Amino acid sequence: MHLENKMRICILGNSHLGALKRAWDRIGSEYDNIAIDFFGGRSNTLSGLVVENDCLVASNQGLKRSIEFTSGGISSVDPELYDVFLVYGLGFHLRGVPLSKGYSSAFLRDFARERFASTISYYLVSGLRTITGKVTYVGHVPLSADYDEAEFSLTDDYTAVFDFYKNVIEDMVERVFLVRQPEETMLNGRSTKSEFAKNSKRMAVGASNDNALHPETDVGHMNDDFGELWLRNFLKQVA
Amino acid sequence: MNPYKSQSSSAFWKTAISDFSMFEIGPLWVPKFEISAKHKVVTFGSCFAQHIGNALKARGYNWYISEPVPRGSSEDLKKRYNYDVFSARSGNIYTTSLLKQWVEWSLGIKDVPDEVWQSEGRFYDPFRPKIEPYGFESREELLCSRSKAIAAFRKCILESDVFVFTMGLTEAWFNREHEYEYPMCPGTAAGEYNESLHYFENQDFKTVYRNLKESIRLIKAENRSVRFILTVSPVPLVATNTSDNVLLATMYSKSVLRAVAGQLTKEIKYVDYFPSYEIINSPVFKGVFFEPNIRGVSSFGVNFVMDHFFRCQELSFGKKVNRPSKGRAEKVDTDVVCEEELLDAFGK
Repeated sequence: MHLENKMRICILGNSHLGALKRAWDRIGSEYDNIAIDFFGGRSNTLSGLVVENDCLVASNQGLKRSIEFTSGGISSVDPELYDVFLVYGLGFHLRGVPLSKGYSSAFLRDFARERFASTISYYLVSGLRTITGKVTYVGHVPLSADYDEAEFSLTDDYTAVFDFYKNVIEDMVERVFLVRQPEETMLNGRSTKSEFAKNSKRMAVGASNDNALHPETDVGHMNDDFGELWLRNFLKQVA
Repeated sequence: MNPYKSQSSSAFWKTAISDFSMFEIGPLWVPKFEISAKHKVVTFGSCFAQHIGNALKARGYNWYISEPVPRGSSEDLKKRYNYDVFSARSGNIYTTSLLKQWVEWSLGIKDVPDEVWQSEGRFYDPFRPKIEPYGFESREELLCSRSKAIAAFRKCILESDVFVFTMGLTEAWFNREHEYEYPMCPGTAAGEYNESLHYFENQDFKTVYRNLKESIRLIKAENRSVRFILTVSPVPLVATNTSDNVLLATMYSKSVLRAVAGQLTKEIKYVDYFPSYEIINSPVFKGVFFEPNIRGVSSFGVNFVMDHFFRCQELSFGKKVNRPSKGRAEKVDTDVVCEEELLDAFGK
């Protein structure tokens, strides 16, 4: 979709993208100057996007159907058609980098680099970088909801972890910027408020369980209210 | 009638050794005590000790690591930063005096020095000079890491059921003023050598024995249930600071270490000796376990030694040990962390 006088945003994501997409369906009309195309694939299916003729194309039919469904009919990502990119979710969690446990900064940097490099988020970011120099944003998987699941919470303050990863990622790939999770969605800088995990729904990809509720025990996926806050926060940064 | 008549066949060269092919010889070890999968086993010592920890883990034993790496770390990252090499991130502990130093630091008996080496904007730990591949970012970061390692070492003392120590060297380097020991001569791995600040000692039997016995005593005083396994690294010296040919220097060192291990094993009921040294080095095995440089131990040799270790345990205690899954024991990473090998760079 390329429309004059609008900022054109391409958002790629896995199941977490559902909350953003449904939020955009809700609030899109408030943003006359912005057009967004969503390219979604559940789980790790977006690893099937490959560079071909300076575009990202699906390497299998299942993924092709998924991105066509989420984008409203577009079957490849042509970077010429967009001003800005966002990769969202895609296995990139902020947790797991223990900043305050006495590990050396060099070790932590290499550890964080390895963690990011192992994600589909990085795969797509570096793939995009081979076909475009346009700014790309990275949105991490939402912090797990505060259900007292200590193992899923951050062990260090969000800002410290965020800033650490920001430096690592921006050092790894040019013109890539990490996006913060909105403050108002977080509890004590360690997890997402549990209200945002309630009634989260599966991303619609043309499957029979499109928009079905996630199980109540799912602390990782967030609802459309979260999606709206996240998206508004993001659009403030880019638009 | 004479005492030899009641000796078993293993006491005679003909019936124990020359009647067999080298791979049929054994068992060479009758363990004093059982090591089971529930025992926390810690390993420290020279380069060869690294193989013991890995072998324990591969066979489902509880190789205790008190300074773990964050979950999700790759094997490459662990190796580069020297995690999961020994049970704490102590670096190589080559001598019994260095072991005693670590024990005394961790038990608060002696103060931990604050010496730090600096080079090109990075900071290096004199007591673990290669622990970080690029050195530390700051003095504070280094001291914090050192404290963490010492605390982890202490945890090993307190929580282990079996303490395995592989003795490596008799040659040692010390700080003249403060009398503490460096694992490597300053100026080799890092730092700067200064004759007025540093001195060398090739330790004799009495010194090695005294330091090891004291280390054992101190550890046992903190942990009444711990038992010890001593081994002697079969790996020859990379270099000697004596005037002897390195072959002679190696033989001296290993002989002293072996004698100390034997003496303490005889004296102390909870100290045992495992003959990895003999397996690799004895002429009986014709040097087949060495790499072409006749110094490095091949993966075949490592596996042979460790298979022998576990087989002897099984023979003595009748339990089936965990066999590694197919293929797991076939290839051993012999690329161990060996700071001593840095000395090779100074050869002409």
